[in-house]
Amino acid sequence: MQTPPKMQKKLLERASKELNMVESVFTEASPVIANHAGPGTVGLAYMAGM
Amino acid sequence: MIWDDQTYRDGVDIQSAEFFARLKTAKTMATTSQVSVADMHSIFQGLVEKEYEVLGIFISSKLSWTIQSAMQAKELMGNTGEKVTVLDSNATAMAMGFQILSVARASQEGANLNDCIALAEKAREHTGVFFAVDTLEFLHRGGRIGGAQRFLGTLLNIKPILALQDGKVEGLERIHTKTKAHDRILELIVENIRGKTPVRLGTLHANAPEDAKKTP
Repeated sequence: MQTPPKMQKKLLERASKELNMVESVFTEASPVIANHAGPGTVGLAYMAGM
Repeated sequence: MIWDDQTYRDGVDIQSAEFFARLKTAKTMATTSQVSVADMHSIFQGLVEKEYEVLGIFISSKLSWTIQSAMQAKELMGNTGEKVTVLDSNATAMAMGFQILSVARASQEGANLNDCIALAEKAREHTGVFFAVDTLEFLHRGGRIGGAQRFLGTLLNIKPILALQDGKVEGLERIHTKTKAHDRILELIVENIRGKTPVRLGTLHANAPEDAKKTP
């Protein structure tokens, strides 16, 4: 398990200030996802309202 | 994943770090293929033999043929295939992950199959993904560019912001500099889910340690 990059932490910290965040997960793209999105891809996924 | 005539199972035979290291010097690019019908069949069959009912929630059918393999495997099972339910998450990454997690948790707390299916269908409507890529080259080559193709030919320093919409990749905006693109992703997320509660977030990165160091 690697440490989540600072940028991801920062994104989550800021998001948690504005939203009622009950759960957060850091993920690294799997080789297949990475092969489709490319190196350097950064994203945020959510589930909200339930 | 198929690379130089070798086949690798995602996250089993090849891990992300190894993938990126090899990508740097690779002369050929990897291609990908869905899990085979045979593999899917043996997983379903094994679970049904242990008397499980199976609810499989899969990556968007607009991004992958995976769900086709699952449906064919279910058909191959004949009558016992009734024990298997196949659902399209309309998503990928943690948008799919949160759908699966919420159903798995409900199941552990005793929800029956029909409750789980209803929950999965509801969860699908409450998830989304926004992301920025360094280049559209990879999405384009893999044929997953969807509605983002209008951004092709974008200048090097401009980062496309994309979203999953109706299960496929859509191009939203083009932003100067990576830092601003990250800010914009966060804004879009906040705009999209403001007022909805509770919120679960998953960050995704693909070999972006350099970006991490540049955090303001």
